[in-house]
Amino acid sequence: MKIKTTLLQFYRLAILLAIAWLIRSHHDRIRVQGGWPITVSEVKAFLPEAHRLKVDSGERKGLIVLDQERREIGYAVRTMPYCREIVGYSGPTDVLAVFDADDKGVGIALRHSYDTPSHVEDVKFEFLFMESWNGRSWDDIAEITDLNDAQIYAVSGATRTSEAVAYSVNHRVAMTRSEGAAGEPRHFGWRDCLLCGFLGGGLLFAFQKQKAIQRWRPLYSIATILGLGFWMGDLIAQSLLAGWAESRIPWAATPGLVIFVFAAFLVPWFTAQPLYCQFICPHGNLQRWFMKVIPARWKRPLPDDGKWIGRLVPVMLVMIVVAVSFLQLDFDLAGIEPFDAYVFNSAGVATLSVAVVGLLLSLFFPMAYCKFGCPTGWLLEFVRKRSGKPRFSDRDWIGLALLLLALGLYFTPLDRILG
Amino acid sequence: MIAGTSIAIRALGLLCVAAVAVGILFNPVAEARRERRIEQVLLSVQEALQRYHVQEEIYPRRAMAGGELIEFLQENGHLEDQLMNPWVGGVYNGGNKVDRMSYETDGLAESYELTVRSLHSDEVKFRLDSTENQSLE
Repeated sequence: MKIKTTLLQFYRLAILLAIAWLIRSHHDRIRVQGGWPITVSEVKAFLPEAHRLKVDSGERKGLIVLDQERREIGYAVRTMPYCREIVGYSGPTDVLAVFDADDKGVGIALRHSYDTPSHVEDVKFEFLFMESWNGRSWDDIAEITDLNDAQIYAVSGATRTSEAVAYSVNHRVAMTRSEGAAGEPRHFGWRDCLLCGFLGGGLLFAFQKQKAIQRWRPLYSIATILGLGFWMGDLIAQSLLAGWAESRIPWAATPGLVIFVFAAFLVPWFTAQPLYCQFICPHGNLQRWFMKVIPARWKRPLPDDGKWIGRLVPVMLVMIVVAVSFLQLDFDLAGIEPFDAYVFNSAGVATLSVAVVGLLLSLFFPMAYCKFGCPTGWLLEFVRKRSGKPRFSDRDWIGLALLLLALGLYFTPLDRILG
Repeated sequence: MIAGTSIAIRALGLLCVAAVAVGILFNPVAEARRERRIEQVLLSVQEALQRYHVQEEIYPRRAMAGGELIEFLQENGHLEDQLMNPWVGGVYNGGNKVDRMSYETDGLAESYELTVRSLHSDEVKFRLDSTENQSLE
């Protein structure tokens, strides 16, 4: 039974990590490929063995070319959008540059151009120019500062267009050097200390049940609402989690927040104690105070069917978050949760509405938002260790469905969905 | 054991929740699809404008709405493709009632600016020109 419990716990964590990894990988692909993804067939023109392109999220931000046996046989980059400022006669040109396994250039191709079409055609068919990078190593190209010195000569009649092409290739290759990952300095400021303080308080009330300690809980609850909520505005939200999944976890910039969020997921995963939802969340605590406003006899219990339907809402919202992230939709995720309402000056109508309606509902249906509206709470509850007989519950099936949704969106080209 | 009425209520509830999800996502997805179509139109028109410029050595002299510009470029043989209006579908031409693209040039017709405004406001969503915004990426 213990093994089954452990396996289920790892399954739940793995589901979340897999979805986060898919989102990250998808966004890495978009960052590297931009709006005009390089295709295998384009690379095949230079490396006929090319079978697959693997996104390299490292400093080169290009594509590793793999053959059928998944061996690395080369590397490919495109110059746009990084070189959008390098303009020829009337616009920039997107150039594909392909390197072999020894990091030596095997060819360039003009993919798409905003430049004058006839000039682009002239450059395209000037083979001497187009082959100027062949045989040169990545580092050699990166060091080119003067085209003539490097014996790369502009195309007569399309001088500016061809020079823009040449500078774009050089700039794209050299860019990886200047951008070298100089690590961001770590900074543990007062906000990080405060967040760790709130976390410490939550842990204390979650695990130390002595009366002498618990009597301070109302004070802590008010402190979370006023301090963590209204003053700092540091609530765990879908917009925050999606942002981290899409780009990176800000270990250096806000280490306190990272520790805070990790603890919110890992403490319930290890201990079954809903640390964040039950003790720390300012909105949860505010609802607990609201519950006390109206006499108990006025409260109405929801029928079972109502509860069943209500529990679908957070799942639907998590699905929306996944879809918005993969499809890069112009949709503010902050609007599906009430947490941004704590930052008055930047709160939108949607988030304020969710906050107010959620609080009003909690007057009659205790903790209504937490139970039937909170997608972040659903995720935290999803990984939480359960007591009792271990079984693959509805929640676990829903987790699997979410993973399938993420896989579907990951493997379906955006063009097919968005036309 | 769940009663039949319960199943019906829950199925109805599930449908309602799914409908809400579709309702929430419908507009952003439609907008994203429209933006992709607009990008395609802009690229075709921009390429045609460049062809026109090579031949005439100036850009078209007067400001025009998108559909009008497309017709003009087609009549002069610089744009061969039949473009679709990204807002209402159908052939994109001067007769379209909904046309958020506009073309402008300077007094000497040496530069151009293509702008696309939001369907619901005057906010510029896309700008492609010969001086500062020379690409959509």
